[in-house]
Amino acid sequence: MKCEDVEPLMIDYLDMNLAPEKTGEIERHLETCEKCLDDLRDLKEILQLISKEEMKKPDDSMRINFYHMLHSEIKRNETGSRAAVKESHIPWYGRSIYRIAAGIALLIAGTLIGVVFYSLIARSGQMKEIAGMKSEINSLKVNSIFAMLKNESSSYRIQAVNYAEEIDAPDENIINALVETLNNDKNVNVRMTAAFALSKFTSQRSVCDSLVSSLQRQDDPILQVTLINILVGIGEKNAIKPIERIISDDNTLDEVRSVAEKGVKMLI
Amino acid sequence: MAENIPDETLMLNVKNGNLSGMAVLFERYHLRLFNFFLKMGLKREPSQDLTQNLFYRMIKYRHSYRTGSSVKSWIYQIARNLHADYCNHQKKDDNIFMQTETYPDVMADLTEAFPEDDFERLEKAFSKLTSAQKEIIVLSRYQGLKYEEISSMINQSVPAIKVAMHRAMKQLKTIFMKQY
Repeated sequence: MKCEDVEPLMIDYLDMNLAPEKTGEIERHLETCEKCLDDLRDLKEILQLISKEEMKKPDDSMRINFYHMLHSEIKRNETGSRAAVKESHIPWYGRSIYRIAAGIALLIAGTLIGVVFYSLIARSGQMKEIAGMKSEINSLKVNSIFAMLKNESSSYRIQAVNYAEEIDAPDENIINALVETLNNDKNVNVRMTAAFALSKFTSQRSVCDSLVSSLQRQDDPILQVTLINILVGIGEKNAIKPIERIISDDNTLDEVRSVAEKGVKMLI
Repeated sequence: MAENIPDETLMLNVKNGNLSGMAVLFERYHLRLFNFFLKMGLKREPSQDLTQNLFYRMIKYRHSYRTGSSVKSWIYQIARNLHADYCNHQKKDDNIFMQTETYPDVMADLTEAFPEDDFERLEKAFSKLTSAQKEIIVLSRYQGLKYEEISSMINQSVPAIKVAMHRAMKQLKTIFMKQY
């Protein structure tokens, strides 16, 4: 073998990807060729450096943004309202600057509208009427929620969960219905939507407890990841034990385990 | 849930409307993809944006995933497209920028005088490669893709990729060793 034959094979040689006779030929050449031996050492050094380099971690916001995006895509998909989303809408999910700008714009607009409405309504004494209408809509929603949760179609059940999520102060019955859905619905998307809906009401102690106990019974990896993310997000210490049990369970998916391990570290 | 669900099964589920499978694919791939964009020379913020967009594209174009084909290859194909698109946009911006940029790069000369660790030296050498050279080294060595997987993506034969890989590494080695 000559130098020009050996050179292109060096990477495969170092990766031990060559047949024994080729390896032998190369090694015989290296015994006599100082230049190729030097080249090989340099190449080895660089390849080792590359393999030793650790991956850099993205900001936590990336995971949060992804789950928000996924959640709204699931909603859109299941409710069938295929409001065409153009690629140009991506910045809403991805670019924090746009989000902050939009957030500020909304805040200002919201405040202005609020101020104008309040002064108008307060003066004309229609405050009560509006409040009455609001509670009527709320009770309509509540009634349809229970009916829709029993529907055969999973998209109806998802819509029901979405309604429940929009209620300002859901009562015990609604919370229980959501928990029941989270634990027992046969469709994973419905369960996941219920998890997200419940995550909005974690100011209620009972909701946190339900989420923790639900984590112990979910064996779907997607729900495990979702619940861990929610519970870690609210800093729920009671979740540490069930998460640790998931880590030590041999049946746990590797991806779930790594999320669980990260989660425990953040909780402890 | 005993065994690892293969990417292909998850993606088929996603294609059939079970979008929640994307959560598992995200956990599997987002770190690698973020580092792919970083290694291709992008800064943190655009690397995060592009990773985010990639998963969005996977959902949006889930019907174009060919059932049974490698999900990994498909993902990296999208990553390469996103990177190329980004660079094309960037080039236009750069042209405008270059016309106004007159200051010599004093800081670069200063930092060059200080000793660095091996990783930094490697990074500097790496940044001087062409985009195609970077790509093949990133895919093969940093991301650990097989030559066959790269071959199906870049549309070149495995031997041709090995030759390209050899040349890219040789170039990297030459620049890296000169820095001593």
